[in-house]
Amino acid sequence: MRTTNNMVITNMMRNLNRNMTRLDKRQMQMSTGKRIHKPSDDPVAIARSLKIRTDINQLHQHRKNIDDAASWLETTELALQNKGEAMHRVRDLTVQAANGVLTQEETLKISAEIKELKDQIIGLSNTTYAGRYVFSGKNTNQPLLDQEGNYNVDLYNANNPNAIDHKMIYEVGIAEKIDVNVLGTDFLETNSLTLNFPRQEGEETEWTLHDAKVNITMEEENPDTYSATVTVVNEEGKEIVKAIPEDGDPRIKSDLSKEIADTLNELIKNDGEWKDEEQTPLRSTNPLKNYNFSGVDFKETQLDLPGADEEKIWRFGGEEFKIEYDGNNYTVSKKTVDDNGNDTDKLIGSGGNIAEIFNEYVYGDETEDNSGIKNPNHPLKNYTFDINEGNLVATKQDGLLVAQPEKAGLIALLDRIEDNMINGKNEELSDQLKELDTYKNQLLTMRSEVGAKVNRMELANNRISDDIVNFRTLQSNLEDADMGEVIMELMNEENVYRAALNVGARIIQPTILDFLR
Amino acid sequence: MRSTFLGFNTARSGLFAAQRSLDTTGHNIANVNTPGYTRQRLEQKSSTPLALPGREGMLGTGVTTVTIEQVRNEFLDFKYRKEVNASSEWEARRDGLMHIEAIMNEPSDTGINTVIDEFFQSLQELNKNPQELTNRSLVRQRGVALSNSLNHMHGQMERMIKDTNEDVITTVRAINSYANQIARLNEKIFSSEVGGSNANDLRDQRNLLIDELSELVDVEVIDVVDPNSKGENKATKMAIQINGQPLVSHDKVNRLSTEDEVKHDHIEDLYINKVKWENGSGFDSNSINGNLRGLLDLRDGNGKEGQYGGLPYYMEELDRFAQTFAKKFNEIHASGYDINGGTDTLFFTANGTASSAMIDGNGNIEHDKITAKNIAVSLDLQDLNKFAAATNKELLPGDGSNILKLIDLRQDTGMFKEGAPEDYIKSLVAALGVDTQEAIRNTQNQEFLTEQLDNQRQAVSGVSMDEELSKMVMFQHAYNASARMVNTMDEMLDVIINRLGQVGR
Repeated sequence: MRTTNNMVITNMMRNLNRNMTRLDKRQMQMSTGKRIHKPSDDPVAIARSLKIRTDINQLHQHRKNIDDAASWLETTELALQNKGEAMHRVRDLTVQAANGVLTQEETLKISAEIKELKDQIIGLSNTTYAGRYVFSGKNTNQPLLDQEGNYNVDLYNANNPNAIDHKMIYEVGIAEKIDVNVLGTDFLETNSLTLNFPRQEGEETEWTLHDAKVNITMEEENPDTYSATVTVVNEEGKEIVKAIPEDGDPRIKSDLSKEIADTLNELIKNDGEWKDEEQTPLRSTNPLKNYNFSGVDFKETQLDLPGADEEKIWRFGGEEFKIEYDGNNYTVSKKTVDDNGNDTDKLIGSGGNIAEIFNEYVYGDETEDNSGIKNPNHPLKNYTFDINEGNLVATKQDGLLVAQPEKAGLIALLDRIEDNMINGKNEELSDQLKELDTYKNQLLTMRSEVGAKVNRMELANNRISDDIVNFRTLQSNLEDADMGEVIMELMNEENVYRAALNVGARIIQPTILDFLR
Repeated sequence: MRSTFLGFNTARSGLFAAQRSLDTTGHNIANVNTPGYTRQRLEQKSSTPLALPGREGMLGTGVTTVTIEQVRNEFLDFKYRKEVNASSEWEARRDGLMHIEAIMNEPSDTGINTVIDEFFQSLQELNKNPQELTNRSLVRQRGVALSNSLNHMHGQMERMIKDTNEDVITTVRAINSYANQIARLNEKIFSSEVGGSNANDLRDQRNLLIDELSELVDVEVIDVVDPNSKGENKATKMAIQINGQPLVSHDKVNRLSTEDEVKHDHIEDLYINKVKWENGSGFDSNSINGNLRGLLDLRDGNGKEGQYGGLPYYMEELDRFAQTFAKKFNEIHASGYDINGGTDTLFFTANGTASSAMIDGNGNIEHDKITAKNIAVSLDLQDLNKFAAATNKELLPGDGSNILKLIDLRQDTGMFKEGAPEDYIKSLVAALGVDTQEAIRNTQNQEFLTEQLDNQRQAVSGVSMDEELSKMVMFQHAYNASARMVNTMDEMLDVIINRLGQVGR
């Protein structure tokens, strides 16, 4: 092959340029400390590094959340601890007073201290963290108790009987959540305040609150109807038993729970117009006086029905129904995922009465969830369907009886203890000591739970710190340049470049011209 | 019987041939650095000999110069043009993709991934204290940052499409200009060659122009012999075709045009210039190669139906991200309750209008109106209380359970077929990285191939100084020798004319 002088020069320049490019790349790696800068440098590594960056940022956020959760929990823990000490003191004082060896004057002094301790407990129930009331559930802007110890915040809303919604949830890891707040009612009440209805035919549920007792039975002959007995004991130890309903016809949940609540409220609240004249009314100091009873307000959901030749989509109970109306008949179909993972409309039924279609579907054997699996506990089974003023109405069939205390149970107890001391009824104090112990135990349970959560936060914090270090290492492996290697390579490239320059300078200079005369 | 002065003629032909060779060598040396120059060589042969009577053989009568020809391998030209064409196509793609990489700006502390990350972090903070206005304002600000960076990226890509469109127009202009120059050269070459000679230097100029044209678009060069021309070397007329359509036919040019402004196929409200033939016939941009193809791919390709994944592809991907993310986020947000118990508020809307403007006549939310270009935080969120943090009206204002649902979106692997939002960005960036890497590698390979072929061409056609100088010495010697021949003849004749027949004088 012929080689011309110009070829030598161009080739040399190209090669020098390539050397320079490599030198520049190493130089860039040197000065930034990173191996990769753009997605095209190493797409796989960049994708992984993006993921790791996200993970690290999430870990940092979770650590922040854990710190906040831990502070909140520590505030709670401290309040509970102080409360425990106060209750301990209350107990000591009550034991002292219950001995009966103290003079009336001394007992009065003790009662004064009890009052102070009560105020302290009320104050502790209104503990704040960063201006937010920690025991008030989600109503963090309101104190839990007023000065008298009455509930200022309704943690027993009839629509949220389980109060579960009041839990404040922090995310402390991917899909790892922790509820940070303790509800005031967790340590201010020891009695169960809700009664569920029986779920099977012939089953009976029982509920005792102080001297009152409620039994509810589901009828065997006629499912979904119930009857109940309510028993209240008065001061003389006589008990009054009421059968509900009075006419003996079993009722459905909503009616029955309201009747029970009405009866209880009448028996307890009404200052004693007992229908049975042999009975005497409850004394105003009876702990039952502290409660209001209510049946659950049933939730209704309604849908405007489509007009002729229209269709409507109704998202309800986790399902999506399509309702078509041709002027005479309704056709209802449901969005279902078929075997291939595609959405299809599955026919539910058709006919003139749309409520019937839904009732048949929900109470037949065919209730399926949206992946087509039959589900006997489908959420829709809690509803019945009716037509009301041209709307389709779904009513939730979940029965509950709820007792709502006016005054916090613990404070009411302290009131009674104080009252008994002032009135010199030392003999009743021993009963109240027992009651006090249940509160103390409950508080201890709460304390250990909160303590365990604080521990868990510490552990999680440590784990996240480890994770951050690990992920950092991974990120560094992916992104960071190995300095030793880069320096070596840089030196190497530099030597090559120098050598190329040197040789180049020599070979491009001479031509035959230098040797011609 | 030989003529007395025959020797002079022979020597003179040697002198002339040497002289002409020296001229050619001088021309070569002078053009050593001229781009596209092909070295020339004087073809010479011995002249017709004189038959001697009596079967004494043939007497040489000196040298004849035949022609000055180029040392050139046209097959290498063909190969070079093919590779330089591919090379510049990949180069256009590489430059475009590297620009997109710069727009995406990943991995960095300011890229979209970071913005999403910060958005979710602000939600986490709000969850811990849902009624706090400073936290609510933070969420709105981070939401604005997220939508702004989508708008910004989309806007930058739109501007890049406009710039690429300008590049297309310039490229087409360059193609036309090359075509004009080639046509003019064709005319000159033909008129020079019709007499039978070689228009070497004009051909060099034309070859260089075709090389440069080949970078822009792949052309086919066809030589048609002119039946009317005289001489041994028939004059040819040349045609250049793009994809079977003539660009140049001898001295006529069929120009390309970008006059037509049409709507972009894939991007709304964007006008681009369509490439077509000036005579109105269609120009199929999928059947061409070269720089122009690279630019058109970058400008028009949306990665579907066999098209290249150019700017529209990345813009559509961003749109898909904006729309899906906004939809999922809005659905959860609208199901929650704000501080005042209001519901059905959308967080992201198209152009930042109020939520009510996003609802069509049938009461459906028009999420498909949202694109990366127009996504913005809803006007409703001007009132920070409107952020729907609660799922339960009864638990206001402390309920943050809707925020938790929003936070869960971050792990919602069903949101995109690529997975959760950040997985989506990750896979988009990785795909961009792979494409760019491919373009860089191919550009490098093509450059290497082109260099190789150029070297081969240079090996054949390039001027070597050493060679030319050696030849210069060689021709000089030949010239001197022929001159000496004249001297010798002169002396011989001197003997005959001046000294013969003077016996006894």
